[in-house]
Amino acid sequence: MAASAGDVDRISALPDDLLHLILGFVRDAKSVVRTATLSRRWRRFVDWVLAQRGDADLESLSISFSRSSLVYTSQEKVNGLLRYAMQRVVKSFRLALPVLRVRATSSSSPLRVDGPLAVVLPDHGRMTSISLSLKARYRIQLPVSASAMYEALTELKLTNVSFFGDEDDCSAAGRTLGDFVSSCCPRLRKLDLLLLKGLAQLAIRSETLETFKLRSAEDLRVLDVAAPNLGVLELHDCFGDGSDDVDNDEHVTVARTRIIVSSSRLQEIGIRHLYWWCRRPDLEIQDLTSVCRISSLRVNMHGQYYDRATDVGFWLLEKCPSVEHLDVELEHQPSPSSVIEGHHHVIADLTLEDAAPFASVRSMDITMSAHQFQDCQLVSSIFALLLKCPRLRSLSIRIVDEDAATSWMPMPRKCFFCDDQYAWTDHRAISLESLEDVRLIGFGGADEDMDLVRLLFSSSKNSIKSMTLEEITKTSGTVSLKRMTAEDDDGTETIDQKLMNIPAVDRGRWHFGDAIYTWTC
Amino acid sequence: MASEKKVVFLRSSDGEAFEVSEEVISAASVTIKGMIDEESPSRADTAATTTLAIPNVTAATLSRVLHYVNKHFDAAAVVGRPDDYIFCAPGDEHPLARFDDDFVDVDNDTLIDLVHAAEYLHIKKLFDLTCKAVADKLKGRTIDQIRETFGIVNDYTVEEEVEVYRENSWAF
Repeated sequence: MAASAGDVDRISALPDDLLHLILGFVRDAKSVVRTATLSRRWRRFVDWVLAQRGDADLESLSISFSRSSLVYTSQEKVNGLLRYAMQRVVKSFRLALPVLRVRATSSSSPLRVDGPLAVVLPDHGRMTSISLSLKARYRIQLPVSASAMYEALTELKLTNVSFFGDEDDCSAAGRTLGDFVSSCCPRLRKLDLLLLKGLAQLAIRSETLETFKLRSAEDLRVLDVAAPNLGVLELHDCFGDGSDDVDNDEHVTVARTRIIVSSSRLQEIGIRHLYWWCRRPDLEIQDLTSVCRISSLRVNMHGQYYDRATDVGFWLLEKCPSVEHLDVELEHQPSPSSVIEGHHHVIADLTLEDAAPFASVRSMDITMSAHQFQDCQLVSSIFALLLKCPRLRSLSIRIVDEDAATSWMPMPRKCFFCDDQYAWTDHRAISLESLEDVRLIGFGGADEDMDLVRLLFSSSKNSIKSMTLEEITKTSGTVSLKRMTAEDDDGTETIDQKLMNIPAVDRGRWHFGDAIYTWTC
Repeated sequence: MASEKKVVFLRSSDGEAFEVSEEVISAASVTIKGMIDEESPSRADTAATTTLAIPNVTAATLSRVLHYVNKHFDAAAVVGRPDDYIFCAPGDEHPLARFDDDFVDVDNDTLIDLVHAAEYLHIKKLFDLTCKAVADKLKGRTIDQIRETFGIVNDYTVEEEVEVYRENSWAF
């Protein structure tokens, strides 16, 4: 019930302590602080509230600047907040600086940029968890004092952080990140680094570290992690060593990224290599025999072929004999012919290799973008992959049918070794005698989708117990399934008929729902 | 007589007297229970009823408060024991939740009068109910909407307003 104009402002007349009790029911610190902008009286009230807090410890503090507050986020203010938080917060502290818009970097920007701005991490912190998202303008200065200590810290996440490089004044640089993690964080269990700039070397020695994630650290050249208790390792897109362009001699001389990880308890690993045209980084990971789960693996396949020099996926898979579960991003990145002429590409045929199959793999989730593959490459790529996993029990294939035009990079359909001479002619039977559950997500009813269903039924010797075809792509929802069915009035089979005519399906029954087809026996 | 319930009269600031069961009001209001306890030695054996002055509460508000008190604290009206109020916070699926919602669905002046009365009479349950109702009017609204709701006048100069937004920018 809104007060009509002219009403006396009764709420502002309430005494501070009463108002404080009322606002206690709002249960949101931000809403309370926001009221400071109502009027002068409320500003005094908020000051009073903050004064009441005094030196009380804060359990958790999360500060997230919006874009509009960019101009007010001075270096002093950020560092003041950090000092306050390190003294007061006992559980989790999260700071996210405003996203820097491109426009704000122009000369009209209210931000003056006189040399690098530094976010100074204080010498001590009491909390168990820190997450800093700093954005590119700020560099981080880690504590330099010998007594610096984050005694209780178990989780550290740094996002969008720049480090002082060699060209900067080293007096401002402080400790290295590796030194900080290794010597100031005696209880650190989880380290998550995302979007790092200016970090060329990272050496970590930690007895407690259990999870280490490093994503998008393009300047990194040497990573050396010795953590005997490390169980989960994720390295995504952090080997931008620039050694891609073989035509350019300058780049060839750049040192290859070197990654050394040693742990005796690795359970889960995920490695993705963004630059499919780059040589594989120099990876030394010990010990991979305990890994039972690969959480993300990107493989670039051209039917049964792949490039041994750049591929990280199959390289890793071969070295992890105990892997039971695989999450695979199956890609087809067409390479221009200039690349294949380069000296460091070695084409390998997955189906012809003498190497042992991935015998422990029991479940596999494949994600693929249909538009990247030429007509027959989609099925032949999956064929080659399945050939290597004879003990597979559960399979899920998600076909993302995103339009090439909307993907992040337009793909030429033609690719250097995917021309006709490499067409899929391999009709060997695959033996998937353990295969029980199959999910196909994004089933569109196209010929290659049908080929896939046929392949799966023919490969498993009656072991399949259920198959689900989920029809979720944007181009073919429920409507299009019906449309496709309706269009087939020229004597050709409908999808239903095609599915029912697949050999061996008469062992069970299809159930055709609106958006989901299931087969069970 | 033992079977007859004792009553007290409460006289509002504007002189109107309200009758209420001594047992009920004592269970509800810490303040009035204190007043009655102070009075009791002098009226131990008399049949005369007590009249207590409530100088801070108007008749309009006091009648609302007593309506609430009789609903919530009268053993005959409430199912269960008279003190089961401790189990029914406002908003719970309680027989009186609906009554509470309607009770605070009033204009701002009336609501703030009720906050003051509940505070003065020390009726914890009513105080929480009314404070929460005020807080609900502050929640999820923009600064302009809050100003409009409560008739708060923005007395900042332009410069001051920029400054206060800057100081508190993290909350927006």
